[in-house]
Amino acid sequence: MAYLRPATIASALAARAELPRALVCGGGTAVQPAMNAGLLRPADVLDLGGLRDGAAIDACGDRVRLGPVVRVAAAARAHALGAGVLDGLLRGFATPAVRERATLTGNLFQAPADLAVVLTALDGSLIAAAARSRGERRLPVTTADALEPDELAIGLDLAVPAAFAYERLAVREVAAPTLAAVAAALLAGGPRAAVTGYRTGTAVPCPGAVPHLADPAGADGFAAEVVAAAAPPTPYARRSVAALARRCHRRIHRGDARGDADVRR
Amino acid sequence: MRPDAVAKLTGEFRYATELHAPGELHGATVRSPVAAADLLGVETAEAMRVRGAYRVLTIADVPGARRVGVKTPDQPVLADGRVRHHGEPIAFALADTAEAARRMALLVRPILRPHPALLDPERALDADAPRVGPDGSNLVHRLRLAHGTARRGAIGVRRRWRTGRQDAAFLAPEAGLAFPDGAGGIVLRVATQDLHHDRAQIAAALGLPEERVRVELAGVGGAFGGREDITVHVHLCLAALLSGRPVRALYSRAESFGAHPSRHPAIMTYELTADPDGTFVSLAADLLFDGGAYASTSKAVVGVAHYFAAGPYRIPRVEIATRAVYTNNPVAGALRGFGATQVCFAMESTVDALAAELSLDPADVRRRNLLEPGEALATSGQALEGVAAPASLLDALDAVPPPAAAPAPGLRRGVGVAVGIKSAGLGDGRAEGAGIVLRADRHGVEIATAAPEVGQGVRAVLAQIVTECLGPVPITFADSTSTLPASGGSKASRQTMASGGAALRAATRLRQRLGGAFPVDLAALGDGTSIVVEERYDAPPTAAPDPRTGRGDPHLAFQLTAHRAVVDVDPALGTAQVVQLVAAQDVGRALNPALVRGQLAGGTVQGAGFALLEEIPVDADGRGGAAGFGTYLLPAAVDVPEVIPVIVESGDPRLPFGAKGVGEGPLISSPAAVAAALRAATGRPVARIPAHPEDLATSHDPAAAAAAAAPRTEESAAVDG
Amino acid sequence: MSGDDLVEVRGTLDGEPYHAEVPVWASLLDALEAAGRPLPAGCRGGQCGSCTVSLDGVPTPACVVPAGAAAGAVVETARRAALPVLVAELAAAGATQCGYCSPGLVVALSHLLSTSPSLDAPAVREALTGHLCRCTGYEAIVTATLAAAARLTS
Repeated sequence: MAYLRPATIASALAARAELPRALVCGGGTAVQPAMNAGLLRPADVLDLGGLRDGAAIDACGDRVRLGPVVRVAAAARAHALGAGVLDGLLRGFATPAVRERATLTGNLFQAPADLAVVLTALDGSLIAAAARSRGERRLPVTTADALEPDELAIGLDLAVPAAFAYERLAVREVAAPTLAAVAAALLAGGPRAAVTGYRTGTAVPCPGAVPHLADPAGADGFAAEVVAAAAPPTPYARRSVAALARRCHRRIHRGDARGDADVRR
Repeated sequence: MRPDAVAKLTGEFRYATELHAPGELHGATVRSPVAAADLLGVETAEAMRVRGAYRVLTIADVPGARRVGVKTPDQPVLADGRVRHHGEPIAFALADTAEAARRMALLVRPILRPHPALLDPERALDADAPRVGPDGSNLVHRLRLAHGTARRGAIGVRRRWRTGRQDAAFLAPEAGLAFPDGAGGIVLRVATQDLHHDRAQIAAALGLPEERVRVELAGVGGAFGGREDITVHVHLCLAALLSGRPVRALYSRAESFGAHPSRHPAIMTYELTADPDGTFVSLAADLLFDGGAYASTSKAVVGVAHYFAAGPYRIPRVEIATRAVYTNNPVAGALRGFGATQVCFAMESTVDALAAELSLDPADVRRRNLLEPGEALATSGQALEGVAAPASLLDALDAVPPPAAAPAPGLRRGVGVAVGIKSAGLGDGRAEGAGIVLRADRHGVEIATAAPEVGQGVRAVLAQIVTECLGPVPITFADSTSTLPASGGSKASRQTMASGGAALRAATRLRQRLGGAFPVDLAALGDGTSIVVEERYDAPPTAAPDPRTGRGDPHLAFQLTAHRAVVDVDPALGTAQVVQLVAAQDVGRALNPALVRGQLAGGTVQGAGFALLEEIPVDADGRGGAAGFGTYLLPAAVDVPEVIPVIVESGDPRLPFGAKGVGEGPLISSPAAVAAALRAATGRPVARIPAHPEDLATSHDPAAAAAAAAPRTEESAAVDG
Repeated sequence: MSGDDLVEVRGTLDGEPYHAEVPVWASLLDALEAAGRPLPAGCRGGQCGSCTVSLDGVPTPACVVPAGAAAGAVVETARRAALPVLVAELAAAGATQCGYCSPGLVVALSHLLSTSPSLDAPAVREALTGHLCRCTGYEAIVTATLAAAARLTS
């Protein structure tokens, strides 16, 4: 029964093999409040926050690999995905102090995972590994719960976008639950988009929206496909998800978000 | 500067949440998982197997009165055969550690036989509604008045308004430490608004004479009305009495949301008529307040709402019916504004609707109908005295420039104005006094007051009054405890008047005792010599209105306020951003302008939160849904980028220094002003606050937008045309 | 029963060594309380900011930091991290009422003043995101912080 804070990914994997039921903690910003509230009472805690080799950001062509404990604020400052890509996302994500500690990878283990919609649009995958095998495997970013008991998420693999847009609906801009969000990206492999289910926070890819996203005149078609994927429950929810989608489309093609397009429809 | 400022800023000031004592037990509250049930028993065997378990307290352990309450003793100390709301305390688990107590609380098993819950306040008085109230009736309190001849104006509007469940959301959760005094009595250190009220309820429940219970003020992390009611108090004292040990408790944030009363959700129907020139002719208002499972301060809230339901307006015909009802919803009670906030939203929103119906400028309609000082309030008939001209507050707003920056592209800007009024002080014939003790020696003057410093700055005001009378002498404060003369509570915006009056008298007498010179010469006092002066101030009396007519002079003084709000709305999403808030208030005289500005800005922002962000949703099972500040959203600094307090000083000649209480005023008209701005920006009715994004979205559906802009025939009525 | 399994935390608190033994699930906030240095804690969920400390130089709500993660760290509360000029301006402006949020936001604003040479009101308000103040409406806090910034650069 222990609190473990390994210094390397290799020792973390070894510890994970020993303690498959240990609570894994990255930045701690979600896990620790759950422990404070008594919702989690783990016998063992495996804290990855001290990994010396866990905070690397490695660019490789049009992809970038993030270590498991790359902090949200650090990722934004590093511009690894391109200047400003994470900025729009950041302001709505928790608070400045929490962004300094929260990890991108760790967020994918929360419900709802606010970053999943962005990472889905960036063709992201979660990289999992275990001490027993030398290889890594990749999982969709929305399937963090599919890790084997002895596996750890040891990083994220993302595409660097040529253009990127993220639009979010919340009661207010900062520190409020996401009601709906849309992310869209132009990648080397083609356009991608994702949307969260209204109020569920679950990221859903929108393959049908892709041709419309590529088309500068396709805002309405894009919005229709995104709405279809999100299946918002009310007329207001449908209209607002459509507005978010049109803004993403507009930002991708014209660099701004708000405009007459919202008002006309 | 306030005497506690530096200690608070540097982390030296200690709060009730941080209290500990050697050998302490920790208490955790077992709460009801259902809204309405018979409680058949409480099984504790499993809980007592937790290592470190000490005992589980239930109602059977209460030696004295089983029911307490800040006004009406209808609330069981622990559930007594029945639970009436989700989260109601059923048992109090005691253990050697907080963790063990928490685990015990999870393992205590109340045996409940649920029955149908009454969650809709509009059904509360139906013949077939489940009975929640203590005497078989679901009516907590009802007031009615009707004055004037039954003439109606040519133009009228009828609207139905709703307000939501706002929480005090003071930052420091409930906490306290109780311990035996070694002589058969109990000491409680707690964050509270009223030491003596607490003491009376604790002593009654423990079956002890009041002098055997001492309540000491611990550091208070905010109050706003939410610390008027008993929460941890009796549980801790009972545990200390029975165990002979110190006992501590600390609520979680989630627990805190449900543990103290919220603002009353209200459903208010207003019908206001006017002549074509905008002169008000009649007002008919029907007000329903959801009191939740216990009375708390509902009766007094009904009184405030009722007598300020017509605002500071001249209306020849008024007909008002106000009720608070019992339901199985969470308990509602005191929260800054105390009923006046809800009716201000309803009245001011109705005035705007009428102005739109008349195609008149809403500000002009207000100016035409606002009372002049000395005129009678439309409801009670009490003369509006000791105030600036209400219209001068609109002038004060107009003098403040609008925001410098234009809205961002795509956003729609709206401006709204509202005027509000509430009493300062308890009024209604209740005693409005306070005692104070000053002790002077050669080193300075010690002020001993039971008036709780809850953050509002009462100690700074008292120190200022004393030094104004005596000259610049060093001032210290004795601990505030219930062994001091009663001060009444820190509530109803009253302490500057009540304890301030006592401080003025005591300091004046102390100066006489010191020879009468100004400044006094404390050095003339010998070593070891001290002079003690105890004084009491009683404010001019008020009287409860005649229950048959509703006429009378129930108010001590008036807080008169006006707000202007500028809000930008994203028309497609319905999201709103406050741009600027201006708060003008007649404060009588600002004894300490920095404190007054702080009250005005802080209350105004709480009002903006009420209009846009803050609500405890209650689900179909009666469960309050606020888990934390991640879902119950308090305004952040970026949400309120410019808040401009404007102090208007009229000087109320009946009060010490002419200074009126100011605390609640800023939370009366700010929600209404924000709602008006939202309407101006969107054309939507905004019939409820907090307004949700779906209430504010407009533009993606041109048909809906056109419908919103057109006259709403089903809600507008030309009456007696 | 996991509550008996303790993690030992040693570090530096306001310039002095401190030591605490707390359960594995405990936070730095719990460790400081166990060491006799309780902090205001309004939410224990990283939302209100009242327990903010400087953790190795970074303003951090102590409630989101696992106690073990703070082993060896340099922790400063407002007692040590507060810039005197900021405290003076906040006190003069009436920027503390109940004060529960004050030590935490003093830590954050002291850090902001030390690291950002030029400040405007929006920057101060942005930095206050995550510091909930229920009393003041923020206005006096922002004004006082800008006044402190002006005094520091003059």
